[in-house]
Amino acid sequence: MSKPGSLAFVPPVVAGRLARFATRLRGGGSAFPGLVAQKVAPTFISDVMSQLPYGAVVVLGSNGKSTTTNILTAIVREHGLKVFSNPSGANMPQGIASALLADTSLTGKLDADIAILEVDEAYGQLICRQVKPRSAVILNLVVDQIYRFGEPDRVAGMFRDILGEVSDYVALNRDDNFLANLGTTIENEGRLAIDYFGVDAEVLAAAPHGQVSATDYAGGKADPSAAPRHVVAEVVAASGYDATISFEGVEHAVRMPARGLHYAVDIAAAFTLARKTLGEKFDIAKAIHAVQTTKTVYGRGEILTVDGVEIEILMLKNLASLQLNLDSLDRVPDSVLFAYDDSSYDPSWLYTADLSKLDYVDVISGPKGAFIALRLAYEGKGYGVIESDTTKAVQRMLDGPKPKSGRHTFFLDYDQMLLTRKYLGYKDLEAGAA
Amino acid sequence: MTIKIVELYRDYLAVNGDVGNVFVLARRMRLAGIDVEEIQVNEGDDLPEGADIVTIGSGPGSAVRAIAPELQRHAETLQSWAAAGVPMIAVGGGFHLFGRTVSFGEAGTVQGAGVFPMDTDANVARVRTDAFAADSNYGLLVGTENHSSESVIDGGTAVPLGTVRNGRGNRVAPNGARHEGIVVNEAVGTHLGGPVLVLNPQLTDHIIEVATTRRGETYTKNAEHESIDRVVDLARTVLIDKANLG
Repeated sequence: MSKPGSLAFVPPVVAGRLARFATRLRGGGSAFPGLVAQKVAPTFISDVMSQLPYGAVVVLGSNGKSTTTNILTAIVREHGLKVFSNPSGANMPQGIASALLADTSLTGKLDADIAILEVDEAYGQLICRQVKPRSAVILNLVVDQIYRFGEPDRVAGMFRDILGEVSDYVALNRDDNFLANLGTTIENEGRLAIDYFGVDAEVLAAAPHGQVSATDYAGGKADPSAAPRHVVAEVVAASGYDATISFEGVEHAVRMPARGLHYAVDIAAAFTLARKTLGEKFDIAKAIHAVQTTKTVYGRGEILTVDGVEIEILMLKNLASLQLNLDSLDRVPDSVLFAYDDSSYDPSWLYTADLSKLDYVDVISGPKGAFIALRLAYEGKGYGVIESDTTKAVQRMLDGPKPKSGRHTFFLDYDQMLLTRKYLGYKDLEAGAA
Repeated sequence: MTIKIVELYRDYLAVNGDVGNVFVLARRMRLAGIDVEEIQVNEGDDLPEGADIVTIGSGPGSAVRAIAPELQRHAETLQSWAAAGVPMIAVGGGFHLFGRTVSFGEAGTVQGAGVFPMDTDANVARVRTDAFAADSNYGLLVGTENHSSESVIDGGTAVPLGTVRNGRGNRVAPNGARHEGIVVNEAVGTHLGGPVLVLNPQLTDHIIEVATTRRGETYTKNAEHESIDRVVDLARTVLIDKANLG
């Protein structure tokens, strides 16, 4: 293995930089340079990571990875550490290597104290073999991309495999069916230290659809006679942008950058992992300040302003993300764009969604917009037009009457979120998944 | 007169929108002025005295294995209902469980309800078809296909639901013929997702007509059905174009 600062770093970094230069000239994607660097030096990622005084931590889960990575990064930076993080969405090996290239000197020195990385579950084991993370947080396991993963049990297996590459610690969502059972397995193995974060039982019961976590049929339900698990951070209230989080037994009010119980859980997860990572340095007041002053990740509850009208962008990645975003709305939105991307092959899950928070959809878009229209038609709800081209659909919304509420609400798939932001002049795009 | 829809094991076998099948059956009947009672049968529940329509959905292998012994309690009743001509729609894992056996390799073999003379190997490479299509007595059926199984029909009066135009369906016959699903009397089993009854109103209406006719009711569609079906056509067209069947 190459030592930090060794000349051995020069070839991969130079090759990667050249590729990055070439890609930029072409105006293309960002994963290619990382691919080149890895070809030249397969241990490039692990060599760079091994220099970091606080090592690497990884953020996993079906939903909320980008948001939690963003919050955790803000918290750790607030404590004075230099953080390397992958741009949200760049959660596959080439994307991570590409991001590393940008911040690494020719001799392979990364100017950071810690790496905080969001990791795609399907590539997680491959990535973690190279990253060798000290700690991990797993946010949730929901029925997600059933077309890609087949069934949730497979994703649970991926999480187990990924934890096999983690050396010290994991923080898990106590109230997630699969993760609670995974916690039992990890506790019994005794190799990793483990903490939990969670939601107060009454708050969870009062949420219209809870956390929409997938059912673990093989693992079964938690033993009700077992002693309740201790949690480091627990959401004890969440309403609109306001949450109360009990941290190590003391309640703290937190004004969140975006709405919803799911957002509060992501914050609790970040507190738990930051507490462990920073040790005695951790200061909850600094952590809360960091959360309250951080911006949302692109397109996750983000509010853009165009010609004096707000546009709130909510992602619909799967049933859980759509449902939790709908549940978080404090009123029926009066000006709605709903787009459905072709990458969501099987639209069946739309029928599991509770759409009672929607009255009318002004514009439906995306290659499979007709499936949204059909879902609404069967529900007896109206819609204005189907405009399959996303940018034209966005323009239609802008050309339409100004909403009384002063705000358009856009439900967008990932790709359409990127297209929409770009079209609206927000050029600071995500790196994009490799 | 109330039409009773009996939905089996929603907690286990509705992983991906299968509730949509119950929803559109009920919706189309109610739009036609027919009273509908939706009865959910969950773990530990007995079946009701009778049923006009039976539905069962799809789920992961772990759910299929977990609920199989429970379903055994109702196997005889379900067989007798199917023999009497009660319309049924069984999708994915539920379709397999309505057969005789479902084998999962090392995870073992479970007994099904025996409504269909069919055995399933649920331990093969996964097949995914974005625009799954099959010709049938109910026109061109479209939807999605996403399963890791091969079902073999063997005996009785069972026939396949359709002939595959795009995708795989059941186990490919030795002569290369590709069939999808199964029909025994009025009980239908299929891999079609989408959900199937959302995207294929001809099949949905057939099920409703059989159920209502058995009870002496008439199912008369109106403008609201037509309005919905125009949007159904838009969604079907997306898949038909994708499979190059236009």
